[in-house]
Amino acid sequence: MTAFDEELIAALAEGRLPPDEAAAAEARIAADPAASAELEAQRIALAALAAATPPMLDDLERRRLRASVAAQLDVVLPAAAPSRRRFTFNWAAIATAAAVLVGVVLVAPLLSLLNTSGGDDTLSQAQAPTTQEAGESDLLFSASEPAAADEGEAESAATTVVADALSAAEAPTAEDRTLITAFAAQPLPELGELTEEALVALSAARFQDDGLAETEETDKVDVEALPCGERLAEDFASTGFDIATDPVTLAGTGTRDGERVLAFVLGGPDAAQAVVLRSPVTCDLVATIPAR
Amino acid sequence: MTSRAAQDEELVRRFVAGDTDAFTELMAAHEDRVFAICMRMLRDREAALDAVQDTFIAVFRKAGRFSGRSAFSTWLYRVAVNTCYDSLRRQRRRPTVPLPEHSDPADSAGEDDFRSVEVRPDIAAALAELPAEFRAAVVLADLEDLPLQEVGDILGVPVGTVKSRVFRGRRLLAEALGNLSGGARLPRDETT
Repeated sequence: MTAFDEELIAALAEGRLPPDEAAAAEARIAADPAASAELEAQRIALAALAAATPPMLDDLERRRLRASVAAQLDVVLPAAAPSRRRFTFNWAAIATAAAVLVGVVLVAPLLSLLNTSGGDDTLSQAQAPTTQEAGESDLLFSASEPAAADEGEAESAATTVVADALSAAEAPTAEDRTLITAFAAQPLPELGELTEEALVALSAARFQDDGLAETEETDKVDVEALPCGERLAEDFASTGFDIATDPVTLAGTGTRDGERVLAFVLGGPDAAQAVVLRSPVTCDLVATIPAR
Repeated sequence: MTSRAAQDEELVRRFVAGDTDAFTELMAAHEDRVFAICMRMLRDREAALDAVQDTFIAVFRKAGRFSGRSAFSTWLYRVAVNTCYDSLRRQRRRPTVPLPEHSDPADSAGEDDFRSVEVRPDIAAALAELPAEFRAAVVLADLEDLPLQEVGDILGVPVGTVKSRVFRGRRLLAEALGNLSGGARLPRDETT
């Protein structure tokens, strides 16, 4: 708790106060060494920031950037086959599924559009499907994707949850469809009945270890790309984790008191982990095992 | 709604409807600012370029999820900042020492000489010393000159938290710049 008014000091340093109020504030702050030091620091920082020149892309970097965006899309989009490692969520598959929802057919013309080596003429003639068409085709694609033999059970569980979600949602919005589709594209481990004991065991399992995190697909923790991603911010806050820096893993699906749930693990191998259960249909919180 | 925001909304609508030209227009309109944010967050051109690339790829993939509740730029910068956080987290796991943007030749002066002069690290180096959440707040509010409410929307925190982070971020920045007068001793808050 500070003993001075931060808002007043900031307003004074930024020059937002009328002259008479500024003079009065200056006098009041001058009588307090701590406040004076804060004001000086604010002014020094603001002066330095004002003098900073904005970083700029040069032409080569701009061309590289556009080409690499095109190239990355070219690499990622056809790679629809998920490749789960341990319990780590397959970010590439989720991203791919989400991309398909927007419209796979959009990619080809975009790649050409972004390709600086030529071929622009075909772009304006490209025809892309509507979002609705793309979404429907993606759902069909996901449903027909064959499961690997050793992942059959998990995929079946995921499919069940997806079916539940679809039947429970009377009129899924485009966003719902994205989440559900992304979820369907990922064969998740079936965790069974998630009793208190099972949750404690799950919180003790090690997720997002550094060895796995070396790879792009597992290291790319995009909370918003997860089912219920927007709600997970509440879980980070309630369990004491930092959404900006701490990882989250969708560990799998299971049941809790007869209800299907998604099990998220917050935190990595270097710290205590929390387990959060949320409904895949409503995203409502079902249970939490806090970090210890 | 500003003219830029209205244009962005229309471009997103066109893109989602299948007009791929619209995405290129969106990227052209925002790539410089996204790069500036990432460069200031990461202080490394290659890392910043990677983050910008990842940001636009993510936006391309998720355009159908953009609801229009906030400005497109707010959503875009939020993706960019989160991408930079991811990059910073990876850097922590594999620590490296990035080269300053404009490095001067090595100074041959001895340690005593070094101590005798005022050390004024550049603003990028000073920013890099801030905790990531403070750095993001200062970059968005003071360098990108975004309204505090928008900064809050981008960072997913209330305006009051933004104000606090900016205030404390500036204080840390001043300390990192080494420019505080000799008598000025800043009180420390334990909270972050």
